[in-house]
Amino acid sequence: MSDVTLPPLRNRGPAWLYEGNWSLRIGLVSFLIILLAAIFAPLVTSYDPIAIDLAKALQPPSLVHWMGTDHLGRDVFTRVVFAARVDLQIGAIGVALPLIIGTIVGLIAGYYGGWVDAVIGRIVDVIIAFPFLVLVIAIVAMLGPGLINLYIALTVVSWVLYTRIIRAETIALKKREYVLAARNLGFGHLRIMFGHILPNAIAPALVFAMSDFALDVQVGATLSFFGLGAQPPTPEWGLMIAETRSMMLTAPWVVVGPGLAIVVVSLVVSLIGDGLADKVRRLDG
Amino acid sequence: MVESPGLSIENLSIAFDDGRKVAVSGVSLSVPTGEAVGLVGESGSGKSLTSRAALGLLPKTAKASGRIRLGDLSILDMSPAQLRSVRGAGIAMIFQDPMSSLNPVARVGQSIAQVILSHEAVSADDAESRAVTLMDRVGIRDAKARAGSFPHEFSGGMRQRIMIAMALAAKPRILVADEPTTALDVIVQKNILNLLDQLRREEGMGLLLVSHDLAVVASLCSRIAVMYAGQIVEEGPTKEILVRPRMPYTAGLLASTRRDKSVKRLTSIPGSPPALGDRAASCRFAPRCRLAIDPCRSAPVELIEVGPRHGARCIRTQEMAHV
Amino acid sequence: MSDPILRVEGISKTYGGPRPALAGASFELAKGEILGVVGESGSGKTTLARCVALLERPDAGRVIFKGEDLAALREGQLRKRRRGIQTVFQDPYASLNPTKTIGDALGEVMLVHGLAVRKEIKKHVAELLDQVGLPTTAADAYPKSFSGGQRQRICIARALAAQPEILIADEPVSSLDVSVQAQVVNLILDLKDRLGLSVIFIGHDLQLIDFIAPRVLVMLAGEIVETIPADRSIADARHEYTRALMQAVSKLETLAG
Repeated sequence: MSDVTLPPLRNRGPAWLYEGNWSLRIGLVSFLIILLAAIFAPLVTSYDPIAIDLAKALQPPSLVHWMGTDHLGRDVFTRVVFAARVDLQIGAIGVALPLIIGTIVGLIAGYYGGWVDAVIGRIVDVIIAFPFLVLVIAIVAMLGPGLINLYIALTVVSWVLYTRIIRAETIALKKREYVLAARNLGFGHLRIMFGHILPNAIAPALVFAMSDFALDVQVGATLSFFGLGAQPPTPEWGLMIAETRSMMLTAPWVVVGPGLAIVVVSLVVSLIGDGLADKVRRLDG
Repeated sequence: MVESPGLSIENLSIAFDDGRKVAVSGVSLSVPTGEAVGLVGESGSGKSLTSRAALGLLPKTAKASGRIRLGDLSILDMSPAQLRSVRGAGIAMIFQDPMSSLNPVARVGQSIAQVILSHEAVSADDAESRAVTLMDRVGIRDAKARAGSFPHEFSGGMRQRIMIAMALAAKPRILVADEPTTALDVIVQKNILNLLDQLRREEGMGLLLVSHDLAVVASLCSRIAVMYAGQIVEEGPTKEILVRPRMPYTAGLLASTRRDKSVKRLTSIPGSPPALGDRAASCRFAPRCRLAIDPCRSAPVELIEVGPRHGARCIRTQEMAHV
Repeated sequence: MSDPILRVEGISKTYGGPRPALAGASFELAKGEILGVVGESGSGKTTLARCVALLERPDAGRVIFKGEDLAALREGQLRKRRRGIQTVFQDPYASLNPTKTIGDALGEVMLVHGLAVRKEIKKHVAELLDQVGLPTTAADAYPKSFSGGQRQRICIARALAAQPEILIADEPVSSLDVSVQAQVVNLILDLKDRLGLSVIFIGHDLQLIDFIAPRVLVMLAGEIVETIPADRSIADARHEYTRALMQAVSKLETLAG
C-alpha cells in the first residue's frame, strides 16, 4: 500500500489559486448580486421598463440614463435589469427540468442496464444526433413562440445530456463496494439508486448544469431575437437586441447593455461551474 | 567519512503546506553500491516520500531540506535537466504498479530501448537488441518475440520484470524498489524478489527496497531501517532487528506477523499511526507503546546507538531487552 | 459435523471469458464455524464470496441457507433474506458511502429491516460502534475522517447491524497496515465467539488463513483444489499448489535463523 499522505504528483498551479476556490466564491457572490437586482428590480431603478416616452428616444448614456435610452425612450439599464428576471428564469427552468428528468432516466439506465439501458441509449443517441440549436428552434417553431414552449423545447433537447452523465457515473458507482454492500444488506432498488448512488453521481451533472445555464440564457436570447421566445414589450436581452439592431451603428448603447448582460451572466455561471468542478476534483483526489 | 559511491541521505526532512505538515523528519540512511538496504514502514510513515526524494521525484508542493548525495552529486540541488541525466544511469526506480508506469501504447522492447537511447549514443538497432538481452536477463522467455508485445499482453509479474529491465537499461548504480511485489501473488512475488537479489549481486548495484512487509525486506536486505510517522525509529543489521529489536514498534510489527495457534489471537499494536498534522514532538510511538513512561511523552527522543551499527529511537531499550 | 447452516452445491460462474471464474464449488459451513478460503488473484475466491452472498447469481448450483436454496429465489424474495449473509469487502475506502454519516449508514440498516424503532436507533448505533471498538462519537462523522482500519471496523459494524448469521470476510485486512491487520482479525474472531457467527474468511495469505480457520479451502483457477480439515496442518498439505504457496512465503522465523 502506498503512502496515503503523498499528495498527487500532478501540478495544480500556485496554491492561492485553488485553495480558496476563488472562482466559486466570486461566481456565487456575483450571481447573488445579479439575482437580487433582478428580484428587487423596482428598487434598483426608478424608471418603468415598458412605458414609452418618444421624447426621450435614443439618448446616449448619461448620469440620468446610465446605458442610454432606446428607440422608444425607455431606459436601457432599467430594461436590462428587468430582463434579468426573464433570462435567469430561462436559465433556471431550462436547467432544472432537464436535470431532474435526465438524472432519473440516467439512474434507471445505468442501474438496470440490459434492454432498459439499450432502449434509453438509442433515444439519447437520436436526440443528441441533432444540432442542439436547430432542434430547439424546430420544436418552438412547431409549438409556436413563447416562453413556455421554449422551456418545453429546452427540456426535450437537453435532458439527454444529463442522462449521459448520470448513466456513466451510475455504471461506475454500481460496482463500488458500498453499493454492493447496500444490495447485500437487502436494500430496495429505489433506496440504492436515490440514497446511495445519486448523491455520489450528481456532482458532475451539477458542474455541467452551470455551463448549461449559460447556454440556455444564450439560447433564450437567440430565440427571442428571432421572435420565437419572449414577446415584446417584455424586456429580454435577446429581444432588446433584436428590436434595436437597426440602430446599432448610430446608437450602439442600445445593444451594448443587453449584450454585456449576456456575457456577464455567462461568465459568472462559468466561474461557478469552474469552482464546482475544482471542488469535485479535489473530493475525488 | 570516505565518499561512498552509493546513495547517502543525510538529515532529510520533507514538509508540505509551508512547513506546517512535516511528512519526513531528519531521515539519514545510506545505501552503498552492491548492498541491499530495506526501508520498512506503514502507510503515512514517509518511506515512499523518502525514496522518491532520492530520485528528485518530490511533488512540487513539497519542501525538502537536508542532503541527498549520489556519489559526489547532490540530488536536492540539481536542476530538472541535471536530474534527468542522473535518473536512469545513476539511480533508477521501480514502482508497485507497473501498468501505470509503462506506456500502454508502446511496445515494451521500444520502451526499454528508449531508455538506452536517452542515456547512450548508440544506434537504434543496437538499443533494440540490447533491450532484448535485458528482457532475457530479467527472465522473460522468448524475449525477442515478446519485445514486440504491448504492456497489457503481459501478466502483472511479467510487467514488473519489464519495469526492472527498463530500470536496468541505463546501468544504474542504485535501484530503488518501492513496494515492487505488493500487487503480485505470493509465488510471483518470490520470483521477483529472487531476481532483484540476483541482479544486485551480479551487477554490483545498491538496492533500496521499500516495503510495508518486514518479511519481504528481511528476505533480501542486509540492513533494515524502520520508519514510523516520518522518522527512522530503528536501523540496524537485519538479523539484529529480527532477533533483538530494540524499539517497541519494531517488536510490535514482528509480533503481529507471528502466527501462534496456541494463543488463538494475533498480537496487535493498539491504536493507529498519528495523522500528518498531529505528531507529537516527543516519541511519536508513545501513545501506542506498552513501555511508555513520562519522559517518552515529554521530550523528543534521539536515535541512540544500541549495538554495532544498530540504532533505536527509544529511551526504554534496556527494558526492551527483557521483553 | 453438526447440521450445516450453509451448504453450497456445485456453484459455477462464467463472466464471458474463456475460463469460468468459478467452476463447480461445493462446501458446507457449520453453525459457529470459521472457514478459511485461500487463493491468489484470479482463483475465484471473490467470485465465490459474491455468489454465496447472491451479489452475483451463480450460473449453476445451489446455495442452501437454512434449508432454502437462495439461488432459486427471485430478487424480491431474496431481498428479505439477504441480511442473513453479510459481507465485509476488501477495500474499506470504497465500502462506505461517502455522503452518509456513520450513524446514518448503520441506522439505515436497522430501519429498513425493522430491527429497531426510530427512537432507539441512536442507542443501537452506539452499541454497534462499541462492539467494534469505536467511540460512539464516530456516529456523527463521515467516512473520510477515518483511517483504513477504522473504516473496516465500521464496515463490520454495518454488517452486524443486519444481525446476520453468516459473515463473509473477503480479504478484509489485505489493504490495511500490518500493525492494524491484527486488530481487525482479532475483532472478527472475538465477534464470532461472542455472537456465535459463522464466518467465511477469505484471503491470499495462507499462514494467516491457517491461523484463523481450523478448516481451509484452497482455490486455484476457479476450483477448490484442496480442503485442509481441522485436524490436519497446512504443513501436510497434499496438493502441489498448496505446497508451492507455502514455500513462497518468507517466514520471519526462518529468516531470523
